[in-house]
Amino acid sequence: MDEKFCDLAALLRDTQRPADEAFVNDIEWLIELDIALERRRSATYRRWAVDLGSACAIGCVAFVLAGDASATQAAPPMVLASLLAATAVPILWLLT
Amino acid sequence: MSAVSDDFELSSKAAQGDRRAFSTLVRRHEARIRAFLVRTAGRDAADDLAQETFLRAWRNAGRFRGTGSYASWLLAIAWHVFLDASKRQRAELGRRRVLDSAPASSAGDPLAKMDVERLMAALDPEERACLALCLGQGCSHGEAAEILGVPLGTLKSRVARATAKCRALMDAK
Repeated sequence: MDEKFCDLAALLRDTQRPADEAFVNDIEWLIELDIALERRRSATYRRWAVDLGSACAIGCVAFVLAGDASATQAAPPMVLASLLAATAVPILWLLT
Repeated sequence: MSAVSDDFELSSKAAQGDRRAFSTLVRRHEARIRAFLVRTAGRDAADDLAQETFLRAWRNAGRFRGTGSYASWLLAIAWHVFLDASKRQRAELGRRRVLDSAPASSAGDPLAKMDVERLMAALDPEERACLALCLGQGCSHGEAAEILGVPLGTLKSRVARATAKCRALMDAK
């Protein structure tokens, strides 16, 4: 290793220093903020899921009721979908 | 217990949401990460990028498998954070190299500091990162290649090219 390379290595070598507590505190604060934002985000998604489920349930039930045919004669998938949606809504409410 | 397995244990706890364990890791590695980013991105951008690095490390704590050292894993994240920031900035400001300008030294001597700043500013970001890892952090060529995600041959040629550029600048003084 020649002298110039040694000079370069010495210039670039990082010196050891104690931890910067201010920086560590900043990171702790950022993580706290990140966790809070993540909770808020997932709460929003849950709310959207519940709103969508409610709308589907109401829509399906209204569609079946408004039809000329009775529930037994209505298209089976539509009855099944409305039942599923109507069951999912209270479960989603419980999860939130 | 070795530092590596200790880091792995702390990282596993962090993956389960233990913030105190993660703070210990930050306290242990922040100087290294910030020094690398000061050399690569410049003093002005280094702290923001270091914060982003640790935030990504927190979010992805479960991905650290303990096969290499935690410091190497963090340095790889820091490098990707730098590349992402450079890309964003290039997109915003065209080809102006804001992040690439004036990387600074942590050395105390102002004369030496100026030398390092000038030397590092003359290099490409990839070359700076290679020198910062191999000479500044004392990483082996293999480690540095893994951190930067390049083949060993590429890393070696970048180190050689960067060293040659620095030598030419030092000779020109």
